[in-house]
Amino acid sequence: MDKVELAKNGDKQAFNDLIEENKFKIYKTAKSILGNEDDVCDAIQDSLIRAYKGIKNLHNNEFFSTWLIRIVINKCYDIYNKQKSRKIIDISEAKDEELKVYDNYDEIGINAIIKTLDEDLRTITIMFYYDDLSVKDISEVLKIPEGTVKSRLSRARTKLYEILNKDGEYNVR
Amino acid sequence: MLDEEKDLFIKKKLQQDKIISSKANDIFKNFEIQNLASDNKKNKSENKTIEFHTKNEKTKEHNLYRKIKNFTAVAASFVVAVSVGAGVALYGASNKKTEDNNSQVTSVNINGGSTASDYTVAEVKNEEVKVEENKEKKVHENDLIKAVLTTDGNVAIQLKKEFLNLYKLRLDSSKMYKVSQINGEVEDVFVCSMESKEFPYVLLLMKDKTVDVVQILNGETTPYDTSDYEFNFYDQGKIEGLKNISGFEEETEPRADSDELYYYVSAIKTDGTKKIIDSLEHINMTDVSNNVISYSSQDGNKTYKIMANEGDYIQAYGWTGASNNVYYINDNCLYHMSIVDGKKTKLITGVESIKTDEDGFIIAKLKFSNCIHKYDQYLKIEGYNVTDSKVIDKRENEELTLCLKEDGSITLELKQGAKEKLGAKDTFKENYIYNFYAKEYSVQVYNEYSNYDVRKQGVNNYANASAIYLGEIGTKDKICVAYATKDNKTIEIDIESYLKNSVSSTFEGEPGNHGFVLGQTDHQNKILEMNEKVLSISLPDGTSKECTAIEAIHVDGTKEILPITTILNHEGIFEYTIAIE
Repeated sequence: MDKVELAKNGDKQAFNDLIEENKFKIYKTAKSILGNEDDVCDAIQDSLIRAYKGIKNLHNNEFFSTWLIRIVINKCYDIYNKQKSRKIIDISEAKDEELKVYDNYDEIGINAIIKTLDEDLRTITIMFYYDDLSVKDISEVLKIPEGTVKSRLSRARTKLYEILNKDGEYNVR
Repeated sequence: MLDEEKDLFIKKKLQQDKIISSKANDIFKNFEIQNLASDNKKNKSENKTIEFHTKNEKTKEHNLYRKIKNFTAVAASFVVAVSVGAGVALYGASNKKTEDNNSQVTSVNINGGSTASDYTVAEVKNEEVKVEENKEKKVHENDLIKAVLTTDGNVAIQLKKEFLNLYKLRLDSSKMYKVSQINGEVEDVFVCSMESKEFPYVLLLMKDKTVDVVQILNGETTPYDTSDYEFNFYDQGKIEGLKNISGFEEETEPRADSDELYYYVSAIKTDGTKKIIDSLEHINMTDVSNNVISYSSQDGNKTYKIMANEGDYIQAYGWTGASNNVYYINDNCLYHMSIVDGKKTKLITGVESIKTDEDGFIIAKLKFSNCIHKYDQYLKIEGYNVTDSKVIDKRENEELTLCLKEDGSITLELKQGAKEKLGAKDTFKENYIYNFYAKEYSVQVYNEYSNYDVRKQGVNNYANASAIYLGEIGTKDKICVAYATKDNKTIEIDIESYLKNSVSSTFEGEPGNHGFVLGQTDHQNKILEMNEKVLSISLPDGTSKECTAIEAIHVDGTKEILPITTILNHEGIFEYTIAIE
């Protein structure tokens, strides 16, 4: 029996193992949407509980990772929406600040790189490049057409490649 | 191939980052501890494990609302709860409590030693109502909640003693509160729980056979900066995908690892089939501000209900990006309202409908009569075709389509790829029909920052044209638009420079002020047609050069080469003036 099946049957160790395997994805996804560490922790905490409570309803075990990330994304948007009503975040200023401090991506880290992307590209970028989800999966998770996912990925790819390959370490043939 | 290689490269680079904050790491660790701890507990008190879990989860949620951010503290309280709460019975059966005559909880002794001091004063923001029995049209209740549909169409909710004890809240359990913001007519009410019994909902079966939901716990608006509980019961919108519903059925099934039951609800369709309501988790409804309530589906697209008038909530849409505005139509006018301060701004009159596109932009469909007061970057116009009059002349090249209509209006459309070819600003959209305004007739009216209503002035807001021209003008490959008006003027506009440099994203700017008008001339005769004419002209330096001009055909059949008063280069900078005799 695979771990997901065990977890669905109430095996907590199996559930913990699954979370451990996915913890970077969970963290990076939440971080890319929320940024603020307190909010990220809140989102993770709630997502884990929600996942734990809901795993028995997961129909297709192989989609555990996608399903888990979707929970995280939904929770993050919940928090994001609440935050948005309380304060005005000037994204452009935030971007400038990140880029002023660091000169190259090695120092910046993934979160700052992701933050340089337009908002509609961030989640898709994390899902595709970090969470290893396919275009189809992303389309299903975000409920947007595959064409939109592809066009956004194309925009993200161009920008990310520009940032990450500044030193020309990778030469396009 | 290149894209795939780039993808691999980016993936490799991004996935190198395995850094996780210590705080987040603690969350994962503590979650593990929590699970294992409950396993240990399970060995001692097997049949209470899940009960304990759900209780702990709820405690966590409430602690979170109270801004207890440190998960360690929660975990610690959890451990304490293990020791004192092993015998907690969730639904009041074994609770020993005493209440005063008004049902106000005054002292409580739950197994494990809870006291009155553990209870929090709760408050309900909704209007309190007295529901007499003869006014109860429909009633439904469970151990926790009672819901009543009254004969006058209102829905009232009562939080029962069991509910208050479960969440340790101090509130009068005999009072009923009116559910606010109900959109439509309610046919029936249904009280149910989903997942666990302690998560109650009130479903509203609407007259149109759809289902709205009132969440009890999410109706709790506990602000972060207060320790009090405030409930706000309101119709949080329709549950997606439920149509032709005639009733509901609450069902349970045993949980895999305990004696507790898993609760779920099926909606019964008019044809007798059942549909399990499993999408509640995908609906997120949040109280955003006093005036705005948001609703977001799992794809991240948001719709909102906003209070446009006192007590009257209407549907609105929000942009999924960083905008803090929601958009809505009231009396055919499109407004945006700031979520932050509730400030309303009129954008466009004569709007038929709005929706969001797949990128989250707001699409406004315009009606025959409209007026744009203000535009913003989150807004796209659909059907920006100021009249439905018949097209009588159409000119096009590879990038643009220019149409003249019988009523004198002109539309301009950028074809696919035109933006790149012409270097147009991002604010312009391809495959959209823009109305081409005769700005010089209504300069003040269309100032982006004024709220002046053109219709009240009776000013004609379209070109009033009798002939159009699309082609080159002058000595350079400069694409221009020209038109002659019915009152005998001709206007030639450097459309390329306009697209490149205009601060406006529509053609209702002030081209004259931005240097986009090449020429403007008065004529004696009405012009019926304008065509391209290549001439050889003498330049001021004595040389001659080929120049494209416009040949106008008047209503009386006479022809005229229109004078070009100024020639601008592609950057819109003045080069020289020529006059064709």
